[in-house]
Parts: sequence; structure tokens; C-alpha cells
Amino acid sequence: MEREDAYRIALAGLLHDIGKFAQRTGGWQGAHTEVGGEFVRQFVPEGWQADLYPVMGHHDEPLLTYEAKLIALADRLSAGERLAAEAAQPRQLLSIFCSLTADGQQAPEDKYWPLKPLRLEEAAVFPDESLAESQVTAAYSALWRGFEQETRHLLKAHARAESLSTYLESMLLLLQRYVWCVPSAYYRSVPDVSLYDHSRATAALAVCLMEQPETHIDELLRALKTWHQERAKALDAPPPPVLEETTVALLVGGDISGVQDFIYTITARGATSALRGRSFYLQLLTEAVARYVLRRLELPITNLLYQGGGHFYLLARPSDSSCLAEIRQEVSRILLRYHQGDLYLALAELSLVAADFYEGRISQKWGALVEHLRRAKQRRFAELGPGLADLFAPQGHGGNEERECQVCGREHPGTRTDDDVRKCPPCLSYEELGDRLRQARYLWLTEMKADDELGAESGGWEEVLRAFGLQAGVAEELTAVPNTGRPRWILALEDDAMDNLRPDAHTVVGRRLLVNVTPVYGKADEEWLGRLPKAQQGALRQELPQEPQGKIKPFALLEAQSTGIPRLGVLRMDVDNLGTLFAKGLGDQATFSRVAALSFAISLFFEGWVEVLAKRVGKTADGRDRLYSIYSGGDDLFFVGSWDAVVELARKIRADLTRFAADHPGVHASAGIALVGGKYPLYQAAGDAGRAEAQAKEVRRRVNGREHRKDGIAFLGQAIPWRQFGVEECREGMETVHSLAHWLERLTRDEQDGGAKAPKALLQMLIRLQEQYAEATKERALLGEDRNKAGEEQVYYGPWMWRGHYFLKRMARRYEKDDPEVAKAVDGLAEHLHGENFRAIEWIGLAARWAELLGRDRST
Amino acid sequence: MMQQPRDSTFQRPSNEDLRAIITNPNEAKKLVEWANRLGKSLKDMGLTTSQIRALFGEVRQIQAEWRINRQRAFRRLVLLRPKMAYRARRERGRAVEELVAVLDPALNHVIQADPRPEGQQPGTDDNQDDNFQRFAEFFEAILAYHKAYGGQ
Ligand SMILES: [Zn+2]
Repeated sequence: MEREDAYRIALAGLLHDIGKFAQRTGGWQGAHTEVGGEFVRQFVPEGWQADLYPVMGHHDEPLLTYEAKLIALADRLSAGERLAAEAAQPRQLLSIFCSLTADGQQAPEDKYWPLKPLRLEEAAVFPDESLAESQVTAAYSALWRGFEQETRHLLKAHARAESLSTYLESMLLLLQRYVWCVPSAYYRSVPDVSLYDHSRATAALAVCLMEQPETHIDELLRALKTWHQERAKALDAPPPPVLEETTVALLVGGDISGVQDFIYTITARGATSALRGRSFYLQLLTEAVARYVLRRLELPITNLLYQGGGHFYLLARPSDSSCLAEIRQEVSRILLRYHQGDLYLALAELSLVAADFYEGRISQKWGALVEHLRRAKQRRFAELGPGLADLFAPQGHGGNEERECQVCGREHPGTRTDDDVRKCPPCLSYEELGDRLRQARYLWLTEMKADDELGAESGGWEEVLRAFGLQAGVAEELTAVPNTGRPRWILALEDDAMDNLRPDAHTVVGRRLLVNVTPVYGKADEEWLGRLPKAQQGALRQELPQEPQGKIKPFALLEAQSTGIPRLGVLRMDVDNLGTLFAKGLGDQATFSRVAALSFAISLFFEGWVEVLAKRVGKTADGRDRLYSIYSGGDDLFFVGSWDAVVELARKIRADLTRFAADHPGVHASAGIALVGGKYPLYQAAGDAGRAEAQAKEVRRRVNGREHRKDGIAFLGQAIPWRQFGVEECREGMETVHSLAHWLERLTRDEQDGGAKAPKALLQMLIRLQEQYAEATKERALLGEDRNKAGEEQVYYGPWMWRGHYFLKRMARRYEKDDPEVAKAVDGLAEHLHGENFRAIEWIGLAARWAELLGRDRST
Repeated sequence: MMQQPRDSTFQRPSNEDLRAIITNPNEAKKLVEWANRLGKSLKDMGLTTSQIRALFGEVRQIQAEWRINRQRAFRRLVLLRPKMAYRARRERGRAVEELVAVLDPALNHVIQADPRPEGQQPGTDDNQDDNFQRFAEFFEAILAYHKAYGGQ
């Protein structure tokens, strides 16, 4: 019964401000609470309408019911700001990045999210100037029409009001799609929180507050009112004691550790599908554990604040602490059983008092929770006590080769040989999952009774999820999704796949962002292969699986399909200083809803937009896919592919991140790229790329006396700021490494391939010049003479300057008669590198090496 | 002191500039700027590489010898001054004379310096060994720019 109550309150919390959305269409009259009430009467199944009184009553004076008081209090805590009377409503949602201070800087101008349903389209995802007054109402009306239509589907599906939890989650997903861009007009100051984020935070808090008796809720509401009044007189008025003393909720965090090793420590044999499968399984596992915790605590889905990429955050009741300790043991036991200690879930909690939701304190709390998680990870499996923890000592007995899996190296009784490689059942199950993912358009989940008896020996991913009470799978067509009559979820992995999706009484439907970019062998690859010389073709065909059509391309093929030198590119990239952005970026404006908004925005980019970019950049003109997403979520990503495509992807991601973040100069990312052969061990490649990324994070540059850190890329062993590397569209020029590389490549390409046939010695010379420079700089740095009095790095003048000038001029003259274009180009380069411009010496060699690799003749 | 040339477009570094170029490792920017300017002017005055090939060859040889037999190298360096004066008089046109008018005082800053003290890092302030390296670089840079501007 209590569980049912929690769902009712959650629904009331979720819909408490829906009237504000309706009001904006201009078609609904009255205060937002009245409009909300009317919405409930028209669109919510009759059976639940009575539970939604708080939608109408949460602003009543006095508040008439316990439920209305819960929502009113949750509303205020979630907003974390003083409640203003029905103020003028902001027209559009300000990008949360415009409220952010990072690197001591702010976004140059206010940008607003477009008023569009959430789809991965340029016009919906990127913030822009605000719409003209005259366009706003029309935009809201269009948005509302879509929302209304979907709400009707939902009403029809739930006409008999059977499963509130299904209805609640469907409504939550609906709000995410349509209300993500609608400002929650509550706030006195800045309209940067969406109604979606505010509503779900209110729902979560309301459920936690149900533990407080009514008299206590009254007391808290009164104390808040008093505090608001006192703060109006003196900004630093301390909160009344009850706001500091009452724990109102627990902030709970879960973090799976061991992820890196789990994904990368596999051999190259059969790695392509296994890799994707392993990474995706981790995402499913995170979800399964998060839902398991919710189910065990009897909390509705609205209490899950974030899940993805190996961690989740949720809000629990103060009394849930002891149950959390049990859950911690249960989860560890299951993970230990199936993963022998490779994967561990750190689960930590932190009490929140009412005052924690004000004055930016919530982000410090969040930071403290992250610290708890970090410490919990250092005591892996400690909750199991000494006896059980011993179990995760290495399992195998060593030397039993017939049972050792050639992919993961573990001994397993059920190994069998597949494509000449001996594999264990878990590895086979990851491969199968990876293979199924390549055409997946839907992810489905079904709740089931958690197995009491843990599964026996096989230990494939499905069994592990089952142990957490979840069955999952992917499907290309809806007809392939099983229907057992139990609660289930069908989540579209593509925007277009949403269209055929209809909810029913036991099926939640919605959109799930997932970067799923898989290079599949197809007709274009067959034709490409057919054009190769016989010997090379034969060698590559050997790498292909039997009947390669529709299967994931092996690394060897991605390597061979590079432009220029055949190499696999491995990219790792993440947002710089993310922890600080969350902990300090919002300052004392940090509210519960704002933190949620920032987290939503960052995942929208890394779990959504990155996919669009990768699909676009990865495809060649003749239709071959050359990029493979191993992982992208939270704030970081890992891609593998043909090396030249990988570099272009990194550039595109960096460029769009700025556009996405409202041109905020303090929101940036660093990337590391390693080039390896297709048979190079993956965990080493991952390590190489990781070290490159760390190198990029060491980048610093000075502009106008101000030091900028990070925001760099390390490529071909050199770390350089993005600004200098170049994030512009592909073009030729001398301003950036990227434009110069393209220019040099065409300059030195053969004539029959459209080049200018300048000698390759040009590239060699530029490379040598930079080497000389780098060596001299290193020596000078040892002498401590590489900086001037202001501490700025100096351009080092030396022989490379006159030698380079001389060499280029001479080369230009040599071509004057026969090839004026080359002569002009090389002469231009000499002039460009003259005098003060010689700063380019720091990166010209990188451009030349890049051009050289691009132009490398593959037949030699 | 030599006379200022009649051609007023030819600018010569002051003795202070020359001292900085030869004795101060942190004045490489000045070295490059002057070499560039001199290279261009000398080309305009019609300097040919063959006119000074012997001189530059001698500097390169001294540079090589410096590591093997410093004393003998130094003797050759001292003898370079009269050789330069001879070239300046013998070659046609004023170009070589102008070049020598710059190189001679520069060389003087090498010859008059004390050897680099034992144990001191190369590439440091005013000492004979490093000054000579800088002198050779200066000479090389002038010729490189001279050629870059089309000098033959
Ligand atoms: Zn295995």
C-alpha cells in the first residue's frame, strides 16, 4: 500500500506545474494550478485523478491536504530559491551553460534552447538566439499539440488505471521529450531550468518527504517562510534550526568500478563484436542495478536522477539507510558470483537536510558523495566480510589450457571453439550482444522476479541481469520484442523508430539516447575490396568472418580503409574539469534542479549528438562506414576506426561542444589519439590513447597574460591546444595544423590524383625543422631559459628559422618556371613562417607528419 | 672605424647590437632580424656567394676544428680578420666590403672574450666558445637570407 502511495505522490509531483506549459499556448485561461487541474480532468485516467489534488492545491493558502503540503515543500526545495508570486514568465529556456562560471569566464551571450521536441536534429539540440515575441506562442502551441496527442495515447492505454508505475514512467519520458525545453517559470532570477528537470526533482523529493508526519511538514514549511522573510531583510540570515536538523532525503550514488579492464583487457581475437557487447552490457548492468535498488526500496522511477556510463544517482528516504546496507551486500554477492571480482559496485549515501537545497550547498553535497564513492571503491567487497571477500581471489587453477578462453584469458568449464578461437560462454554472450546491436532500433526490458538461486556456471550477461530481476534485449523490429504480460519497456534507439511506438497498460515507451555506431560490412565494402590488388584483397578476405555481409567489420578492414597509411585510430576524449563544473560552476545559484539540468545537458551531447556526428563523419562518399563507437556517455567517449576518420571525428566533437555549450569558453574537452596496427592488443591501444589524453590535459597556453589549461589534443605524440590544431570545417590554409596538413597533402600529392606534385622532401624538411626546434627548446627548458620575465613561453629563434626560410625560398624558385602553383604555394609558406609568425614552428612539423601519413602511398 | 657607405639604404647594426648578437644567448631574435635585413641588402647590392664562399668555408672548418684542437682553431680564427680585410678590398663592388664591415667587429667580440669556464653549460653568456658559435650562426643566417632573397 505504501508503495502505491509513493507512486501517487510522484505523479502529482511530476504534473504539479504542467499548467504552466499549457498556459503558454495561449489557449488555456486561469492560474497555472487551475489549468493544471483542468489538464488532469481531461488527460489523466479517471482512476488516478483523485490522487492529483495537489496539482491544483499546491499553491493554496492555507494548504489543505497532507499531499498538497508534500508537493508544496518538495517544490520549494527543488527550486531552492525564494518563491515569487506568479511573476512574468520567461519566454524560453536559457541554456544552463549561460549560468555557468568556468575557467573564471562566462558565456559571451545568452542563448536559448529551441522550442522543439527532443530529437537529434541540429534545429532542436543547439541553443540559439531567443525567438521573436510573435513566434513564441506558435512554437508553444506546436509543442503542446504533440504533447497532447501523445498524452491521449497514454490516456487510452491506461483507461482502466491498472498500472500506475507504467503510467508514471511513460509520462516521465513524455515530459522529457516535450518539456525539456520549457522553462520552469518559477524562478525569480534566471530561467535556466526546464520544467522537466524541475518536475522530476519535485516528484523525487515529495516521495522522500512522505516519511515526515504532517506536523513536521507544517513546521518545515513555516520555517522556510520565516527564513525567506528574514533573507529579504538580510541576505545572510541563517536558516531556522529545523531546516538544518531534519534529514529530508538521502542522496545515493552507485558507481561500477573495473569498467576499463573489463572492456579493454581482451585479446584481438573476435574483439570487434565482443568489445561493443561488453561496453553495452555495462550500460545494461548499470540500469539493472539502478532499477534493482529502486525496486528494493519501493521507490518510483522519478527518484532515479541519473543513470548511465557505469554510475547512477537517486534520491531515497532517510529511513532507507539500513536497507541500502543490505542491498549493497546483495549486489556485491551477485557481481562476485558472475564476475569474480572484476566488476564491483560502490554504493554510497549522504543525508540531506532542508537547508542543503539552498545557496548552492547541493553541489558541495554532490561532491562529498563522489568522494564517498571513491573511498568505497578502495574497499571493494568489504561489505561481504572477510570470508566472502576471499572468494574473489583469482579463480582459475592455471595451466588448464583446454578450458582457458582465448578472448578474456579466464578459465571456464563451458568453453567452446568458434571461428577457430576458444571462447567462454560469457565472452560468446557479449559477442552475440554486440552483433545484435549493430542493427538494433529498440531496446526492451522486462521486469521479472529476481532469481533466488543464482544461476549456475554459464554466466552470460542475460543471466547476470536476471539475477537483478531484469530481462533485456535489443530488436530491429517491434514484432521481435517479447510480450510476457509483465511490465516492460520499449525504448526507441533512433528518432524515427519512435513513430510506430504506442504505449499500452503494461508497456512503457520512450526514446533512449545511445551512441550506437557500428561499421557493418556491406555492398560498398565488397566493391571497395574488389578494386584492390589481388594479393591485398586476399589477405583482407582472410580477416573477414564467413559470410561477412551484415557483420561488424574486423579491425583489419577498418585499418585498411584508412586514407594514406593504414592504421587504426583510437580516440579517448572527455570534458575538462567536469567535477569542478558541477561542484563550483553554478556557484550559489546551484540548486537541485540546476545540477540536474547540467547533467542532462552533458548527457544529451555525449549520449545523443556524438552519435549523429560519428555517423556523419564515419561514412565515406561511396557508403563505407569507418567508425566504431565502443562507448560514449556521461562526459567521455572511446572510439575506434580508420585513423583519418577518427581525427576528423575528434575535431567535430570539439567544435560542436562549444556550439552546444552556448560558446562558453570554459567548457572544453581534451582528446588523445593513438594510431595502432589492426592486430595491436586493444588494452594497450586503450592505454596509449589514455596516455595521449593525459598529455593533452597538460597543454597550457597564454593569451593576454592569462593562462589557459587543458583543452588540447595529443596526436602523433604531440600535444597542442585545440585552437591551434584547428576545429574549423575541412579546408586548406596555414592558420591551423589541420588546414595546413590538408594543404600540404594536396600540394605533395601526385598530379593524376589532383595534387600539385610538390616534392615530398618539403614535408621531410618541415618535420626536421620542428625536430631541431623541439630539441633546442628542450635544452633551453633545462637551462630554465624558455620563459620570459612574465613567465610566458618564448618563441625560440635559431638556425631553423633561416634554414627553413632559405630552403623554402629555394624550392619555390626552382618551381617558378615549370609549376607556378607550387612555387607560389611554397613561397607563401616561406613568407608565412617569417619573423614573428615563426611561432608556427611549434606545430608545423605535426601538420607535415599528418600530411605525410595522409599521402602515404599504400602500395609501398 | 670604417666609413658609412654612400648607399644610404644599407643599414649596419650598431656595435651595441653586434655585441648583443654575439655575446647574449637571449638576443637570438636580434640575430635573426639583422641577418634577414643584411641578407636582403647584400643581395640588392649584388653580392654573389662565390665572392665569399672561401670565407664562409673557413668559418665552417674552424667550427669543425674547434672540438678537436681548440688552440689551432683559435689561431685560424684570429687570422680570419686579415683574410676578410683582403677579400673586402679585392672583390668588385661594395657588397663584400659592407659584409666585412659587419663581420669584423662581430669577430672582435669573439676574439676578445675569455674561454668558457670549466664546467659551465654551453650556450651561455659572453664567452669565447659560445660567442664563436653565435658568430658562425650569424654568418650562416646572413647567407641563408641572402640566398632566400635570390642571391646567387
Ligand atoms: Zn572469455
